[in-house]
Amino acid sequence: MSIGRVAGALGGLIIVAIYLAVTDDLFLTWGNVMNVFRAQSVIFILAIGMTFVILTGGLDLSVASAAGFAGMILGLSFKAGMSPVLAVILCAISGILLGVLNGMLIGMVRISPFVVTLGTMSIYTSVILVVTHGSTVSLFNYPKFDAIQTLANQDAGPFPIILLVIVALYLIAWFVLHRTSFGRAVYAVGSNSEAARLNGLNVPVTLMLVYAVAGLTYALGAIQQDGRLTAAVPIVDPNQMLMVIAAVLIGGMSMRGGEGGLLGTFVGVLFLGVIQNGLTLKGVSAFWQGTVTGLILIAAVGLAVVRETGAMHAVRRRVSGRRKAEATGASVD
Amino acid sequence: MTEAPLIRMRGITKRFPGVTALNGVDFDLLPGEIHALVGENGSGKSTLVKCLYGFVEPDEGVIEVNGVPAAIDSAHRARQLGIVAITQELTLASTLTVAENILMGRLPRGKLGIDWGKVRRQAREALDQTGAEIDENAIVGDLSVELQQEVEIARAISAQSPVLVLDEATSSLSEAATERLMTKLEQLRSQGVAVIFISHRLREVFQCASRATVLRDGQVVATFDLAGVTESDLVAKMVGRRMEDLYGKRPIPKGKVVLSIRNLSTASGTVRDASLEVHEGEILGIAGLVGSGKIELGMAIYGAIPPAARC
Repeated sequence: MSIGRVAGALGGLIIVAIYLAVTDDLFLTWGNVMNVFRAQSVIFILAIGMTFVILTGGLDLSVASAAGFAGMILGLSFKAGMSPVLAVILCAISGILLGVLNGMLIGMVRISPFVVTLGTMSIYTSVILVVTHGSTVSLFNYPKFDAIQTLANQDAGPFPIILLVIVALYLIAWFVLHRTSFGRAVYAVGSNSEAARLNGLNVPVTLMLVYAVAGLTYALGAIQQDGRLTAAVPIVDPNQMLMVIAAVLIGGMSMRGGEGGLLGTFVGVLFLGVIQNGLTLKGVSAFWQGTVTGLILIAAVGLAVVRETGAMHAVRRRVSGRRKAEATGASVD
Repeated sequence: MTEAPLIRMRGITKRFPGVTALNGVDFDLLPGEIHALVGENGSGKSTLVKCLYGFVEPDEGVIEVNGVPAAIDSAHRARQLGIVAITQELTLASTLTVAENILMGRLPRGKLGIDWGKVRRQAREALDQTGAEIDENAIVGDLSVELQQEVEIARAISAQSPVLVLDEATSSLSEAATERLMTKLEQLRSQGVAVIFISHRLREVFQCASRATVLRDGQVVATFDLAGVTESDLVAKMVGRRMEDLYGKRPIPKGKVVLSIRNLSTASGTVRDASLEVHEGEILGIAGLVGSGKIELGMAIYGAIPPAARC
């Protein structure tokens, strides 16, 4: 992974952090910094899955809806009196299954990820409402839920437990992406799926697994979400999907796939978290957050495009693009 | 030669909508031979080898590998059977390193997952084997097309498969790189590797191949040893008539000039001071080596690259 792709987000993060540190005494306090991580904890986890997806050149618009769905499974499991272990397992399985559904339609039926996940986003959102009749499943009075709540909100020494969990998850995901055949297949499929296929990689199965892994991380994000809210909420926050995708792209990932990685994603999520925190500290209305996020997203991706279309690079890409087109076109001789 | 063939193809027929690309083709590949497939464009030679390396499935016919009938339904299957192809079309992942591309699908593993030190070493060995002076840590997309083709060659050869198919693999190579490839092929051949060689450059065919099979309109015209065969004999078999009229040029009355280019240069400097005229009813060829600027000239003519500002 080249540090160049992350440089933009990292630079932005540092500049904003310095500005906030200088102008606001509260910003650089331990408590506040840990609060940034806590506030972004769900996004941090969901963005791992989105990183896998976008690495393959895909997109998952169903992220927030799938997380909402898995979170509702978790809530309903507790409500039915199940043990925390069983509830978490059911939640994880539901997330994986939602991902597998996306992945089969994308990898095997070969429908575009945008269309598939736009569809499943709508379906998952609606099914939650159907099942719950639109009412929140409050988990406040369930002693069995305490374990989840502790995980989501308590500290271990100076650190929030969830921050340690997030760091562990990023390390595991990094290992998977960089040290396993599956992880390299993710990069290869995103870079050139034809090359991947010719070298014996199973592209449909890789894609299916990628969305399954994503679904699993959505379930993990959902556990944290329920833990923070002490409830499973039937209304999917439309901002969440935007935040996750924006964070990954701000982190330097290319929508074409095959480039970028988890470091960028981590920085991207943190950057958006610091921005939110800064707006709050400065007393700016929360209504402005969407505007700021959108501007940063466009600026970050815009900068990457400008960098990539440096004169010679553009010509070379055009030539190799044409060769690629010839390679995939059917020819008789 | 009485050796059992490595590859035996019998009655291979492949139809595409509106055209029969192959019509009952028989083909044998012996161990330790470089076997050229020659024929005009559309004669079916590429389709025939595509059946071998898993790009195209024949409608009829049998393929035997080492005497065992094989259904080759994917490139992966072909590789398992020991058939690896180098084609004109590049099949590299441009965002990944040279090393990872060379070992894609067979990355070596150590105790802690993929062993990247080993990946780099093995890739370096593969590149050294073919004499390619390319940094194994470079990102493939940053290399020129010619160097990318060399990566492709290093990858195929490092797979150490008993059958190598070269389908116009030399078309974007420089002369030096082609020379290196020829030497390498001869070395592999002496080790018992069988090579199917397709090139539109007959000089290369005569330089490296020991046998040739000529295809015309999807059918085998002849298979023969190349020793003692002249280029014009071969061409005569390819086109079905004598050499004299191969490039038979009929005088064509030229009409008036329809396109005139004067002192065209591109901003990158690849094209400098190019001038040419095209007349009505004329087919004008533009020739040159890789990197000579012929592609850029074409792109500048149809407006895909802006010309340099006039001084």
